[in-house]
Amino acid sequence: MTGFPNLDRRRFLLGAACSVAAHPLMTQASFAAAPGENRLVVILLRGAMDGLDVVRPVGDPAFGLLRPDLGSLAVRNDSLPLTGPFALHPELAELMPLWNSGELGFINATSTPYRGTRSHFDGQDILETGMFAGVDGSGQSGRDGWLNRALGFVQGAEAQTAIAVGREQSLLLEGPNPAQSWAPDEAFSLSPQAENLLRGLYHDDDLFRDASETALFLTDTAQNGGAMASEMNGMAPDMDMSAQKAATAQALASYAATRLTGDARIASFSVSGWDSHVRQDRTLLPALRELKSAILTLKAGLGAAWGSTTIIAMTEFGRTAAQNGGGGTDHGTGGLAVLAGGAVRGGRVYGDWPGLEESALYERRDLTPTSDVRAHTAWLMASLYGLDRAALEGTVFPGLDMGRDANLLL
Amino acid sequence: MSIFPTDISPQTRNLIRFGYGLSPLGAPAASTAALIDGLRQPDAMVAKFPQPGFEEAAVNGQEQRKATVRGRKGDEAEKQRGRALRTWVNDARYRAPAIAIARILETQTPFRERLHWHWANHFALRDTSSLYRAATAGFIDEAIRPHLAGRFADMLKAVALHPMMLLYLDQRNSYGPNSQHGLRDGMGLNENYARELLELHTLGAGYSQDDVRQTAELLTGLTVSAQKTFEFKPEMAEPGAETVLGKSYGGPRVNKQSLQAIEAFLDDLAVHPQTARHVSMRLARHFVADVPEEGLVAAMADAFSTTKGDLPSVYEAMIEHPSTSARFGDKIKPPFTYLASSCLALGLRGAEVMALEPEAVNRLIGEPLARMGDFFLRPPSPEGLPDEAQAWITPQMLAARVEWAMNMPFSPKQEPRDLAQSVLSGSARESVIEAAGRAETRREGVGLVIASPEFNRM
Repeated sequence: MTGFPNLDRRRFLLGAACSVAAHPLMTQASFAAAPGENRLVVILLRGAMDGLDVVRPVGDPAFGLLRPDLGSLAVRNDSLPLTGPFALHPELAELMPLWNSGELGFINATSTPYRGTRSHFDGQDILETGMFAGVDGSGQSGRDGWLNRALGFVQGAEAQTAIAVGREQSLLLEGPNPAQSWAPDEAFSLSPQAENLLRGLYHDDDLFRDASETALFLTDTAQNGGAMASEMNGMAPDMDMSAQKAATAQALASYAATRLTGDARIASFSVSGWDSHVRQDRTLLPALRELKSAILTLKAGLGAAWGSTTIIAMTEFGRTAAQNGGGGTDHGTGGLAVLAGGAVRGGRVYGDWPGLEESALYERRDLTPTSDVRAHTAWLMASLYGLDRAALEGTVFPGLDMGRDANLLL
Repeated sequence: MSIFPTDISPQTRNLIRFGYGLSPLGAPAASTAALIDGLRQPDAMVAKFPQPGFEEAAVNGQEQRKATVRGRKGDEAEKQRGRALRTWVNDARYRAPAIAIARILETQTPFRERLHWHWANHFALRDTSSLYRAATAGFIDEAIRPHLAGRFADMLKAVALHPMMLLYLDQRNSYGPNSQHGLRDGMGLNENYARELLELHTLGAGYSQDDVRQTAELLTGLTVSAQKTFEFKPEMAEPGAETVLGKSYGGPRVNKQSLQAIEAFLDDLAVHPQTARHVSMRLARHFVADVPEEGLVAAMADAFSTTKGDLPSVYEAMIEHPSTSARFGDKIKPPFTYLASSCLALGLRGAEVMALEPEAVNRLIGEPLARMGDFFLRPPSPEGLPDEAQAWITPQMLAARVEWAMNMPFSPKQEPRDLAQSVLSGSARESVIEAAGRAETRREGVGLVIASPEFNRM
């Protein structure tokens, strides 16, 4: 291998960061009047976030029994008290000031109408299209996003009103109504689940197993594995993988904030890495940091516009109430949505709490959903952009019963 | 130990082994007969996606330098011309991988594209001066590609008499010590090309230093004109006959026939038994196994010798040999094969790759390829890129492959599981298809298929 330049880690990272700049699918920005001041940011939490670990029901006696490690006494003691039985994952401590000032809230035990096989791809499709073909054939399915259909009803919406940020393809803004997309310079990162699956694929092939054991991408994310790998290679640690992930979210949120202080009023992007099947105490941390960074970056970037901003972060489904044999959790049903922004009525945990005792669990394994996350979203669209109930229940979320407004906004 | 299932169809195996794998858009015929017959059909891809010719690229490179120098001295028009030419050169260089991939995506004869890159690597060269920055792709299309399905001797001579090779291995600076210009300027031999010709391009072994020296003397006179065309300059050629491998070439005087003596030498060299073996070994190492079985190389060399270097006969002996199907999956796709096969797997079309701006091609394709270890069209030495698996699956280069797989700049048109089934078609463990379905996003699901050992192997 003589004659090859030494592709050191620093160069690898730098190269990775610039290789995806100016994505070919990027569209040009143009200018026009903006309709109103209300801003909405939809964050898709891909991979199924474990709501029970983010907003922990530490006061529910079943919690510690279902989760001997993930809900141990030490874990419960480390959690940051919110309201009632609930306490926040300590990795999100920096968001507590927002909770205290009423700019952060949660919707518990919520989900799309998706039940059954618990496939990420199907679950995300329903979350993004807002459509669900029920077993009775009453619903519809399709390949355009609910946010795109909603745009058709937003007075004065122009191409630059809504923007999808990031390289992850999203159906959310796909459809007949014009919207923009943009991908920033993103550093390469692998979600813990992809890392696990890849490790499995490489295990039986000696060549790939040996090379990947020291490769930079297979790192122990929770223990600053990136830095460890750099030190092993005799190089200065510059950036570990989870820091890189947060930097990615920061880039997405920072760009979204810039556009939202300009003409754009609606932005969406994805934060992935929530599929925590093993060692969730570690594997969840990078995704949490990314979500935290996204929210704080939006707040900082929006400045005065933060006051008229609503952020909703939602996931395709929740995870099992009990921890599994690998210290993680598996695909479940009822989940958690995160609300943030100056426009939300925060400092509250919304949603009826069904409890964790076995008889209350969906199929005796998952948190039972007590609301349809699409209904909450529909009420947000009604309040922020004046969409009427007929449009929301007929076109944006076909077949949805919005029920009663939970008054998520001020 | 192979991780591959054993019940892969011969067609699938041939497409992976001698092409760029499978596409969800369908596959060309891939029986051995179809592979060989395809090479004999007109070359539709070079017509559809042409690369700039060597001469155009070299002349533009030279003009660019002249214009830039004049521009620096205050000539505004020349400055503009220099800029325009620099853009042309850079665009041509950046666009080269897109053209190469477009041919692969649209061809009905993927074996031709694989051979194109194998032989380019057999005769590996690169630009040694900024003048020739965009000239390598043209060299391959002109000197190598027309002879992929012909006689090895014709390819060898086309390469030996091509200005790009004479530039790269310093032949144009090699003077017969007793030639007119050698005596006048006190110049002497440069053995560089003579040595690589014997060691890398033909014999591989079985020659002496004296043979190298005699070859170098025989080759004097081969040079490049000011117009960047091939030229035989008798004033540089060493007078007298030279004896290589026991045979004498050329007469006492240098004249018009001297070039014919060089060609006669190359014709003999091209069919030498040692060349038959060396060429067969390199083909087998590229396509079949890092350490091919002796029986395979012997069968190929035999086909080579029997037909006096008819390449399709050698390919046929390679594809048909029993050890070839037995060793399926032994090889690691070299970086370009890997990257191009992933584009094919996504169902990408040539027009989509050609639509990228040159600078985007460089960023989205050229740079990832370089991180995998292939500085496209710029091999590190005349030995070319390595063929051994260990050279490509290092921690850093594997990371680059995974990064590419997870961040491919093109959207897959299929569900991850469907993609796994259509592009791995029985050649993958069930676990790959399962993993594709269990990823948390579609992009990662597709990425896992492309990053799998199965997809990296052939």
